[in-house]
Amino acid sequence: MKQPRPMISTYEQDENGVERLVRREMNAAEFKQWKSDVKDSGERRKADEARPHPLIEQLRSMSDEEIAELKRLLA
Amino acid sequence: MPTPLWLNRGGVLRRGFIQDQDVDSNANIQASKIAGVYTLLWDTQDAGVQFPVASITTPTLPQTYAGLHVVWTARSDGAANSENMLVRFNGDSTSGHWNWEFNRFVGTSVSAGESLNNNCLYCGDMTAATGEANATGGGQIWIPGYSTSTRQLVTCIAGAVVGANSGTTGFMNVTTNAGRWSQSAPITTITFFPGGGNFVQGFTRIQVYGIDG
Repeated sequence: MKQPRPMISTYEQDENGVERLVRREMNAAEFKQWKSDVKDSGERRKADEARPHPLIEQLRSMSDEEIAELKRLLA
Repeated sequence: MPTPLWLNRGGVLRRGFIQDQDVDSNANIQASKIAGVYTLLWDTQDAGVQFPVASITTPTLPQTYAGLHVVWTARSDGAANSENMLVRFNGDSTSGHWNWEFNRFVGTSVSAGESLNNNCLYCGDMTAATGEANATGGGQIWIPGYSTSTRQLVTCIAGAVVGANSGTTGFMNVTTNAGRWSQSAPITTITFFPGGGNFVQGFTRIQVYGIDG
């Protein structure tokens, strides 16, 4: 049995050109985009959660000279 | 001499300034003559948006304001503690048209990140199905110069309950974002959607205000 697609709320023009609020099932193109969006969002969230602390990232990006200077300051 | 005046605009009291030339012989004041006020352009509740829905798109927005201010609160039925609040202008889902930079505060830690060449704008988070009961996310989005080709930078601030139990560390977060839509077309519609699941009844409301110049 075919699963119903998610519903969207949008405005569409009626026969007189007036915008009307409609709630309808996604069409094929919208459904394809939605599945892609959900996948992207999940991957982005995982990447965000796995991202190290900004200070760690900054330390990793420092040059040898900058690290030497940091060591000197901390000594 | 401008006269300060308090007006009820969209259910919110706002202070405006009236000048003599803005008042006609019958003492009627044109709303468009009041500077610095917010006008409620659209509200999911007033419009009668029915839930659950996986996305909400505004009607065509008037192009007569200096900027837009969106106030939102939302919850998703996605199978997670939280979901992203995502936005598109004019339905543009083209990869590469969207970039953003964000800071996220959770517990005592702060993380920063960027997303380049994306296909939508991240505006914060909302509580989802396995998150704490009756909790939501909410935030605000500023879109200055939305009707011009010279605007683009959008700023967002949001907070959300992103855990299952309040009172435990990290159960809520705050995000601040700056985003850019690379297109120059006037923004005529805004689409809001959760990163997964549907917006749910009773916890989701989106209001779009026009800001007079």
